[in-house]
Amino acid sequence: MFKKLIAESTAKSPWLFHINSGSCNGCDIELVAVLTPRYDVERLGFKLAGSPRQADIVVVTGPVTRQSLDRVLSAISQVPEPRCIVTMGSCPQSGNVFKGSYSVCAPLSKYVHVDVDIAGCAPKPEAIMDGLVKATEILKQKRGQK
Amino acid sequence: MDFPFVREAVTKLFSKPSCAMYPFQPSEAAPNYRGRIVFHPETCINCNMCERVCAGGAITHTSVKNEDGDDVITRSFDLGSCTFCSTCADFCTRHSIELTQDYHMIGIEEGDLIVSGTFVKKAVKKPAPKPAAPAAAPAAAEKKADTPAVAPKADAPAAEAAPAAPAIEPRGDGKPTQDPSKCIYCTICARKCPGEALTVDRKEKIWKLDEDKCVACGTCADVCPKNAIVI
Repeated sequence: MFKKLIAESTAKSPWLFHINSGSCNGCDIELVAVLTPRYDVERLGFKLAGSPRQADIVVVTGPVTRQSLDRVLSAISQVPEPRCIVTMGSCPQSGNVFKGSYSVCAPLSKYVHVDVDIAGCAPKPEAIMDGLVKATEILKQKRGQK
Repeated sequence: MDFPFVREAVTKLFSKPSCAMYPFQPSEAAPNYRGRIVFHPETCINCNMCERVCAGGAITHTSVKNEDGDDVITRSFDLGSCTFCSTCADFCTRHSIELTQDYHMIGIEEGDLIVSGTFVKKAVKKPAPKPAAPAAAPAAAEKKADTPAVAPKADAPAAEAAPAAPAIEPRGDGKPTQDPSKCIYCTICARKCPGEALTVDRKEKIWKLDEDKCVACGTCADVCPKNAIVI
């Protein structure tokens, strides 16, 4: 009974972990804006977690620089399964204007399976909320809930 | 006993929430927001200016020949690589690229973030050689050169006759023809040409068109201050 209760409540309240992999800070500011009272994503149950081990959804911003690649992958590997990886902005999806640089390892999908891409440079807070809602649906599917 | 914030708490309890109720209520982007790209392939002339100016390298095209010898061109925009800077739309001479207010750009499967359009570019027919145009050009140039030497009275009719007589006919394939009597060799057309197909030398008074590079966009005629280019 308790297990069922916990499963239902965790499905409705996924915790976010935010990784900045060398981002210009534009996407990070937008992600923080989503958490402010104006957009207040906590209404939908999202909460920013301090540690990857407590998170359900990982949000990656930035073009995955060579220096940050190992750290990003080790942080992602610490997130317990089932997890959902969300790339935010154009950088982790393709490298954007840093494409082809010797110090950039984007796209992130070369290394891990990415579930949701949020396009934009930087995305609008509403678009981020759309993406996070999609991520919760995927998370539910992965957990075998309806 | 004093309850300092009771009034505030009760009014807030029954007032509307101060946050934007986004997923439940739709929200519109600001008027000049640059969101999802919409491509109008029917007006595109394949000058490739957008590809050249794109900082993120998000624009690509593929070209396949069909049975008529025409090019079937598919141009695609990768929104996952786009900075939404609108430079491509600003440089598009035909206004084929539009950045809309749509910001719902979520990619779950591959291809969700690709916007593409296909169009057919007709193969350019080689126009029949027109002896009239080249013949008239030197004639007009001679007239112009002669006028100062001839009596000034003859100047006015000659100048009027030059635009009327001109044998500058459009070539019929959309590529430009220069009217040497009007051209001042200002080089604006060469600078604005997206395909870098025009070479203009002000000193030597040379106006040359590289037909292979020309995409028949008409920009040179639009920008010409003297209307010396006929399309």
